[in-house]
Amino acid sequence: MNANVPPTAALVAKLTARDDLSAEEIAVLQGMMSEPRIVQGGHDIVRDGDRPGHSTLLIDGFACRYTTLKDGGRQITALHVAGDFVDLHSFMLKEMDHGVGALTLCRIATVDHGRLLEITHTHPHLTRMFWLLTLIDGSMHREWLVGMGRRPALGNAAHFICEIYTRLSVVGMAADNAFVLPLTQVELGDVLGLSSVHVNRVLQELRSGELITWTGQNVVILDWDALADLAEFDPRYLHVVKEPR
Amino acid sequence: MTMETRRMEVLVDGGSRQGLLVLEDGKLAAVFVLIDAAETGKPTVSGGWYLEAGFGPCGQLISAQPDVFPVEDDALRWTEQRLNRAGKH
Repeated sequence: MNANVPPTAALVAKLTARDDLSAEEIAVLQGMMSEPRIVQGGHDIVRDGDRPGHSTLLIDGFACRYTTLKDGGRQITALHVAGDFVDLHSFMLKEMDHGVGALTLCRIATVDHGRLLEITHTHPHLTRMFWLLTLIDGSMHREWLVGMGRRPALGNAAHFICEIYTRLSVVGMAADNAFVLPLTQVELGDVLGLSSVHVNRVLQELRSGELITWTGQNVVILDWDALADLAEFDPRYLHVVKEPR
Repeated sequence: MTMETRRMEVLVDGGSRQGLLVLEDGKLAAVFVLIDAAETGKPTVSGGWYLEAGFGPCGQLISAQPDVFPVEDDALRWTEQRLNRAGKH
């Protein structure tokens, strides 16, 4: 982790993949963030029921939104990577209706809701870009819903891999069809709505079909076209298109 | 209620596994397969009986997927509990 890289670097990369930001807007983003701090893997960043006075930016690491059922079953409803605001929603929704947890060691920074409110008055384009981020979050939720409801488990797992690779590429954390994904099979099951037994089988199937390798935390996509075809992956929902917004 | 078991190989992804079919009064209620530790996807869990398919009260319409059962008796006890609970409604 390079200390010379500003904490907002991934966020800026994520936003500028969708529209240009002015130097002043980038300075506003950099100026609004608190000092970074570390959250250990397995710990909550925000809890269900909290009323946070700030929103949290994930600088690096992997975090998830999740909901837990009475029987202990957990569904991960979103996976967050560097550059994601994990709870921009709380600025407007006020009370958290789900938790956000660190899956790995995470470096985060926060921005006070009061500061965000000011920005909505002074910087309409940045405000629209924040709005865009929550719309893309919603877009990913829709895609996950389709995947869990209607895609075969194999296709849904393939879709997840395609999505994460694409998102990590945008923030410079994946290239040449390879990336690091430090998820256990249990966590992957919570993402895909599968038992860890079925996750194991699905991964075996993807491996034996020579679509991917997954060794430790290192994922390599061996045949992007075949994987994307299996997943019916259409990246339009990620809106990685630069245009005036 | 009479529960009986039958054994046959079950086709799962990656090959066939030893299967345990549980029937209630001659009707198929649950199919378990024997998996090894690596297949559980959890490093802390040893192998055991995995509910491959459940029907009626053991089916996923009304029942969450149970954890892998370490021994056959546990799998049978779970099936019996599900069937008994359904019988009371």
